[in-house]
Amino acid sequence: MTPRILLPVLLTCLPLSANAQVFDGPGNPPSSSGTPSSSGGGSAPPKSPFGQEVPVMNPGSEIASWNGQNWNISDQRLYRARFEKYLAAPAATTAQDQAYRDLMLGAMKALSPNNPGGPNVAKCVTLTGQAADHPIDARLCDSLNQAVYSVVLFKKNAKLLGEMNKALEQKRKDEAWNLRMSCGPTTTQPPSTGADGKPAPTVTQQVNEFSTAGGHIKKLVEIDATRVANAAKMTSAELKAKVEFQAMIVQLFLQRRFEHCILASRLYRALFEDGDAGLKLKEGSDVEKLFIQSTGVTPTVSALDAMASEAIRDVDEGVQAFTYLIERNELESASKRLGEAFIMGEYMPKIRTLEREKKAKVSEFVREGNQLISAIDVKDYTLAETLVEAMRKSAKDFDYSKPRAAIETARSTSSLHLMQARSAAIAKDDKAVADNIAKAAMIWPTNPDLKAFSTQVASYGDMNTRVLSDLDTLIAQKNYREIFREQTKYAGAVLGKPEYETKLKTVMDEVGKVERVVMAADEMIKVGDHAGAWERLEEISKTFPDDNEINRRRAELSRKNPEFIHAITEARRHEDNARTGISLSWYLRARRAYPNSLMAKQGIERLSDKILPEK
Amino acid sequence: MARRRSISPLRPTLIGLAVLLIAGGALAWMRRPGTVEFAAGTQPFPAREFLDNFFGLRGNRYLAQGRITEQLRFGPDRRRLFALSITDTSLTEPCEVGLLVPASFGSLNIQTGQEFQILVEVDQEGLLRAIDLKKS
Repeated sequence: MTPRILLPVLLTCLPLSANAQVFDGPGNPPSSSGTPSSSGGGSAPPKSPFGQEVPVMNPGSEIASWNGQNWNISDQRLYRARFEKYLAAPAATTAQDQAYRDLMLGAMKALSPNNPGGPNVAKCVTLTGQAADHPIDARLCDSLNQAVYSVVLFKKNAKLLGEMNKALEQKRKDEAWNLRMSCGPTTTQPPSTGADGKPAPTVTQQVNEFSTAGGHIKKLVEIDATRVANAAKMTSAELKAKVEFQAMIVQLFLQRRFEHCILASRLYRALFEDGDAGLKLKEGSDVEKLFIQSTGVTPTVSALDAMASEAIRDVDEGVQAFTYLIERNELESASKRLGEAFIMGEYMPKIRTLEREKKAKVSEFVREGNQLISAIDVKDYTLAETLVEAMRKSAKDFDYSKPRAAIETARSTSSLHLMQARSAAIAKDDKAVADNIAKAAMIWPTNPDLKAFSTQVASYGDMNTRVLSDLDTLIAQKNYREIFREQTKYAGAVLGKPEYETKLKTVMDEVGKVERVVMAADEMIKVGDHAGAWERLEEISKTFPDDNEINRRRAELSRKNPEFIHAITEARRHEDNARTGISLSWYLRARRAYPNSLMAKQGIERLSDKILPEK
Repeated sequence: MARRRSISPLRPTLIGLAVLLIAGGALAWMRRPGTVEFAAGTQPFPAREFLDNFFGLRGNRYLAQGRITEQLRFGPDRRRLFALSITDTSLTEPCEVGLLVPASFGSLNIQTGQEFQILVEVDQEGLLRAIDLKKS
C-alpha cells in the first residue's frame, strides 16, 4: 500500500483523534463523529494491522477503516459540513492572505540549501514569527518557533555541559597529579632498611600517606562520575530535543499542514547538523509499522518532507482536475475531485485561493448531494427522488443508479406491505394490518400511500363502528326489513365479528321466513286465493307486526275477502274473551266463506276440544 | 107468586168439572203425537241477532230449524257437539252454529245432513244447547 493511500487515511483520522502518532499507536477508540457506513460494507478484521490499529482507506469504495469500524469518507457529516462551508467561503485572495503565503514561501526559501550563505534559521524564524499572526496559521508557526527555541536552549545547555566537562577534565588531571604526589615511599615502595640507611617510615606516616591518597582517589571518582553524568545528560537532552521536534513534524504532517511540515523538517536538519534524521519511533508501534510496511524503509524526516511535498502536488493536481471538469459540466466528478483535494489539502494555497465562482457551480450540487444522503438516511424517499431528478438535470455525469435503486427498492417493499395490509383489512385481520403497516412505515415512513391508507383505515374503523351501532339499533327496534334492505352494508361490517355475525344471521333467517311467506302469498294471490294469502300474511304478522310488506298486502287483501276476514276477526275476538260458543259459530261461518281456511279449521278444533274434551 | 123449583148446590160444580174434563180430553186429543206442533209458541232462533249480539239471547229458548253439517265431538259422557246450519231469511246464507246435544238424547240418531227442529237454549258463552229435538 502506497503512502498516497495512507495519506488520506491519516488525514481523515485527524478530526477523529488529535493524538500524536509518533511514539504510540492510537490509544483511544475513534470518536463518535465517525458514522459507520452501510454502503461501504464492513469486512472481517484483517490479519494485518491495517484497518485495525492502523487506519487505511480503500479508494475504490471511499471507505476508511480503523479499529474494525468503517466510515464512508464522503458520508461524514463533519466532512460534509466542512466541505460545504469551504464551498460557500470566499477565495482567500485578500492582501492579508497573500502576505501570509509570501511569508511562508520566504521562510521555506530561507531554509533552502541554495540560499546564499546556506540555510538561515534566524531569518526563517523571523518570517514564521510574522506568519503566526495570521488567523489562517492557527499559531502553528509560533509553535514551530517554540520548538526551535527549545533546541537552542538545549544546545546552550549542551555547550555548558561540555565546558563543565572540560573543566572537570582539567581538574581530574590535577587530582591525578596530586594523587601521585601524595603517594610517598611508604606508599609507593616497600619499606627498606637498606644501604641508604634511611630509617623505615613509621606506621603513622604510612597511614597519613594512605589517607591523603584516598582523598585524591575519591575526588577522581567523583569527577569521573560527574563527567559521565554530564555526558549522559547531553546525550539524553539531545535525544529528547530531537524526539520533541520530530513529534511536532509528524503532528504537522498528520494535521495536513504540509507547508509547516516542510518548514519543520528543514529546520530540524538545520538545527541538528549531525545528519541523524531518522524518526525516533517506538519500536513495534503502529506508526512504525505504518512507515515500514508501507515504505519498506526506516522513516526519516526527509521522508516526511517528501511526502508533504507530494501531498501538496496532489492537491494542486486535484484542483486542476476540478477546474477542467467544471468546464465540462461534470459536476459530480468535479465535486469528488475537489472533495478529495479538500480532504488532503484544506489549508493548501491552491485550495484556499480557488475562485468562489467555480466553487459555486458545485456548491448547489454538493448541497443537494448531502441532502440526498440525509433524505435516504431518514428514509424520506419522496424528497430523495426529487433531489435525484434535480441532480440529474444539473450534472450530466451524475450516477443516479444507486440512489434510484435504493428509492425503488424501498418504494416496492413498502407498497408490497401496504398491499398485504389492505388484504388483511378486507379479511378483518387487524393484527396483520397493524404488522404490515408498521413494516411499511419502517421502510418508508413518508410514503404518501401509507398516509392515505392509514386515513382510510381510521375512517373505515369509524364508519364500521357506526354501521354496527345502526345494526344494534335496528335489531332493538325489530326493524328487520330495513336490515334486510341494507344487508350488503351490514354483511361487510360484521365480518370477523362473531357476535354480530350471529345477530345478522338471525335477522336474515327471520326475514327469510317473512319473505318466503310473502312470496307464497303473492303466488296465492296470482291464482286467486286471496283468502289463503291473507291467512298466511295474517299469521306471519303476529311475529312481524311492523313489516311494511306484510301490512301492505294485508290491507289490500282485506278489501277482497271482507266476509271471511270479518268472520275470523269476530271469532278471534270472542275466543279471546272466552266466549267459546259464539266464537265457534264465527269460525264455522269463516269456514263456510273459505272452506280451505286453516285458521277456521284450527279454531273449530280448538274450541271443540274446549267445549267437549274428548278425554 | 109461583113456586121455584129447588136447585141442588152440587150441580154447578159437577157441570164445571164436566166441562174441564171435556176440554182436557179435547186438548189431549188435539196434542196427541202427530197432531200437536213441536215447541209451539217458541220463537224461532234469531240467527242474525245471535251473530251480531248474542248477549241479549243468553238464557232464552228458541226453536231452531236446521241441518246437521258436521259432528264435531263425541264426548265420553255421551254428549255430542254438532255444527248446525240454520236457515234464516234475514241472512243471505245459512248460519252455522255450534249445537251441544246432552246425553239424554244419546239414543237419538243424529247424522250429518239430517234436518231437525231443535228447541235450543243459548248459554252464557253463546253455545246452543239442545233442549228438545225433533227430526224434520
